[in-house]
Amino acid sequence: MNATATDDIVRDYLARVEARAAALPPDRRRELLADLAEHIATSRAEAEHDDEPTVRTILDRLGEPDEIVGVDEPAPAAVPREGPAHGGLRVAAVVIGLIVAGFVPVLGWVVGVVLVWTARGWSTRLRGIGTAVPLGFGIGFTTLVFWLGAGVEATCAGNECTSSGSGGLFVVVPILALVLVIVAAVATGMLIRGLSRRTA
Amino acid sequence: MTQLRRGMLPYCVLALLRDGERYGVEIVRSLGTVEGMVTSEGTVYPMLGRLRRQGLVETYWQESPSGPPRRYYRITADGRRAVDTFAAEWRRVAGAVEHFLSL
Repeated sequence: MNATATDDIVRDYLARVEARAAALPPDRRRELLADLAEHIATSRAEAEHDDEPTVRTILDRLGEPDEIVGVDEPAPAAVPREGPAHGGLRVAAVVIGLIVAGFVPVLGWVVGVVLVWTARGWSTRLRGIGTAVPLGFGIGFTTLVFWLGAGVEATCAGNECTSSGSGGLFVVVPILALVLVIVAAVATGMLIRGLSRRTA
Repeated sequence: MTQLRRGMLPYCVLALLRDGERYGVEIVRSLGTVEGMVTSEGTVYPMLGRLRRQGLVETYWQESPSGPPRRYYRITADGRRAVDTFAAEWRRVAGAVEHFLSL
């Protein structure tokens, strides 16, 4: 009970540091948080009593997140960011490129994914979306096209056109494909929003 | 004055590490024993990270008998050179400042 209360205090403190450190490069932020977490854990382990006053004293001595992060913050311009390179045109090019890449079987997607993951200044979330978008579009659209083709063939096959045993599958597959395309479209929207926020 | 202290701190840490390897809490504690060197202990960690990136110290992990594994800091040859250069320069400057302050 008491232990969880002190753990909460520590968690809150580290969360405040993390929020304050948002402008630092990710590896630097991770390192700082790990160092502080280790400092707190080691200090607690070495203290006589591991109670709330002890933890509060440890955190007080560490100082305010503002002070800790501010000390290591380079001038804002020095933070490596791709900022100005992301014009509206660039965003459109990336998104269209990703979608087109999704239609070139396998190779296009692989090239797109490699580009997305090697680009500088993208967050992991954006990279994930960039990977999923062409995959969703590619699979969804290809499936839809195949289904339409199959449907036409079935109706034109003469007397037996109406059914085939896999009638249920004929409904489920296109719906799944449509869902995939829609999800990919939504993800594209998020991608555009994420990139344009970066541009702003 | 804050700037001055901030500029000195890395060399104090390097000087401290000349005597032997230490883990983060130890370094912070040693700095804290000298009045006025560190106001918030947390600021020591970004500075340690910078020293590591500059190749003046290196780090390694070691299990501890109590608590989590500790990250130890060890001074490198470059670090020794840096602190020696600083020490010589510091004595010169300190002498000069003292000269004017005691006029």
